[in-house]
Amino acid sequence: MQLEGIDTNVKYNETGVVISVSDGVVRIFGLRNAESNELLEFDNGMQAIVMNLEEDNVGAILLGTSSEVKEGFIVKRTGRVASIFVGEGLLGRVINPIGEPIDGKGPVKGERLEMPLERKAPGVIFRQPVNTPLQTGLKAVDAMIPIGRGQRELIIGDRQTGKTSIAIDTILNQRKNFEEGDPVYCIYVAIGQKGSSVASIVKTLTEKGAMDYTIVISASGSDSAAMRYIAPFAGAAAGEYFRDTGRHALVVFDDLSKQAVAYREVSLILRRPSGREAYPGDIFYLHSRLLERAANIISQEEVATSMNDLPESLKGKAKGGGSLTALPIIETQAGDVTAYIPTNVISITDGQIFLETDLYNKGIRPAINVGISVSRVGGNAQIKAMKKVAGTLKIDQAQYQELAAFTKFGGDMDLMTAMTIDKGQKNELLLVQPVHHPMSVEHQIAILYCGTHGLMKDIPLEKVPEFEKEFLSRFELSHRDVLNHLKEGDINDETAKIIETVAGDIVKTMQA
Amino acid sequence: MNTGLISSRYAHTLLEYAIASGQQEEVYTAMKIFSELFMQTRPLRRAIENPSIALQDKKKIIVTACGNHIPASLDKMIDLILKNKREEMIRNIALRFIELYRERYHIQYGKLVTAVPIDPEREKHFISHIQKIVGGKLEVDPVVDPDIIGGFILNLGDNRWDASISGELTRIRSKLKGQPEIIVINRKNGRQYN
Repeated sequence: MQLEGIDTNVKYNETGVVISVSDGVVRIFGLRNAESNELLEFDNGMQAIVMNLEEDNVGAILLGTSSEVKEGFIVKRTGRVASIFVGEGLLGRVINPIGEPIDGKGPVKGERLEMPLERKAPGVIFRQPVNTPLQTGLKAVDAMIPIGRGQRELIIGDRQTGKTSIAIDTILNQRKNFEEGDPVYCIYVAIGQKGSSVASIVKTLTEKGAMDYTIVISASGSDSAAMRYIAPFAGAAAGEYFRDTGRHALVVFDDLSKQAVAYREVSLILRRPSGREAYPGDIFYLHSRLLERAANIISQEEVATSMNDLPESLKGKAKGGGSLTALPIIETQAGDVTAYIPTNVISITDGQIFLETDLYNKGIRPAINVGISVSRVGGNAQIKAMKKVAGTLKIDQAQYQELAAFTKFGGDMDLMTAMTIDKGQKNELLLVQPVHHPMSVEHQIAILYCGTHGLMKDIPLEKVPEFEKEFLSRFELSHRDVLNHLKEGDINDETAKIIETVAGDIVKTMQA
Repeated sequence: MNTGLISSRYAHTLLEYAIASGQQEEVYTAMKIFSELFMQTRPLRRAIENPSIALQDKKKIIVTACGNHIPASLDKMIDLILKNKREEMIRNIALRFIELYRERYHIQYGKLVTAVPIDPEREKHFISHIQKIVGGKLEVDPVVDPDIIGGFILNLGDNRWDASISGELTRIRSKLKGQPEIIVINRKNGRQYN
């Protein structure tokens, strides 16, 4: 019965012959009608994507190992552009960039829709300004560098500065949304990472219950350059499935510097002309077209359903009001943000979170350099109460860091300077947060109120963490209603008075 | 670097020069032998691409691979290719030349793959039947490949008609695995095949 409906007639194909195979790239003679980005198939089932269309041959990247393809092999067109099949069944799974599960949990279940890897970003009329916050659960980020749904916020820093942790914490913080029935689906794309690193990330996500709403796409260091190059596109395609069906998604590209290196490798083997640092000329376009796909889709249903380049599979299923937020990660070498790829991605994104090794080593984690980190559109999405409480925090901290640099030379300080430094030091400590412990927005607002209003001025610096713990537990126990108000973005004199009273009580006990 | 453009230019020049010298058929035969041998012989490819081998030696290798007796026009072209250090592209040039020659003289080239050898009478009948459909001159090389199990595969230019048992099994396998069907749209007539 399973064989019913199988067409056994003579099949017609357009074919070509492999004339050379080199490091994941094949050159094919023939295939005159092949299109750019088309998926090709070999007789042994191996697949390739068309990259170069030349006068007498076609250059394609292999989606597997080169050893499985030999010169003289016949390759046929499939008539489909390279795509990934996305559905709810992918949630909780670890897949490779072509959608095959690699977690050993068997085939992916449920209906899946074909989403093209390369797709034009939504046009201007299908978008709306960023207006809803995407809470990361990190005090430093949500207060000073707020991220909105549909934004592209770059996480940049040297190795071992906590870039991945910020992204993972953001994913973990979406658990609450998932439980409340308004999920932000997360897609974590690991590019060129060690298999063990990916395994440990999946373990963390599983333990914290984040895999229920997360898809992990992995193209590890041992995968072909082609796989590493298409991995972010697969992530974007998966995110678009949620975005275009009226839901919210977050995609983390960890990291785009490795993708750029993979693309350079492929381009050089394809003999494309090289430019600065041997990257091909279209390296900027590679990242800009990828990150442009992050968008906040207009809520007007009739406009959203007529979105440009909507894949065939989504026709009739598209809805408005969805969003895709992107958190690309870039690894710098010795803090050099002026290198080619970092400057490119900085200019594409809507802001950056800059992480520094020195701060990380001092114990300030997340090691965010407040001075040069920005969020160009997130401010509009910040909830009112947070804006009110933490509005001046960023500038205050930047001023403190400047003053602190001067005090290193010693000498007497006037009272105002001493106070600014004391407040700055305490706020810096207040923004320190242990890894994988995201904090709810109402807790953040309450504790940051204490920091920005100088309520901790009478306690010693080392007691700040203790104060925070005590304050939050007391508040949670006896003032849940106030926290609910804060969550809704509401802060008034009455709420402020309660915060001040609770803080005052704790300060008294700590002084005693 | 657009390698396709370079080999195309050499192939065009060779064809025009061969026609002007009246040696096009000999060059076509030599190029066919060379490209076939190039595909089958790995040491030949390595030798031609090896920068440490002297140009004269490379020429001797190429001439031998073309069947020893090559027409003067091809001989001169090989000299030019070696002088310009384009020996890496000689295979592409040969393939492109064959393609251009077939286009110019309306020759359709194909391969008929069967699991067992077929008798010449049936082969002739088959070829004449195809000729009626495609028109022009038709060159078909019979190939025996037991891996296709049964039926036949006809490769004609860039097109392939697969009526083999192995092809059918592959399609059944992909259907059972839930993979999508291959769809090919012919640009010329807009027809869709699957």
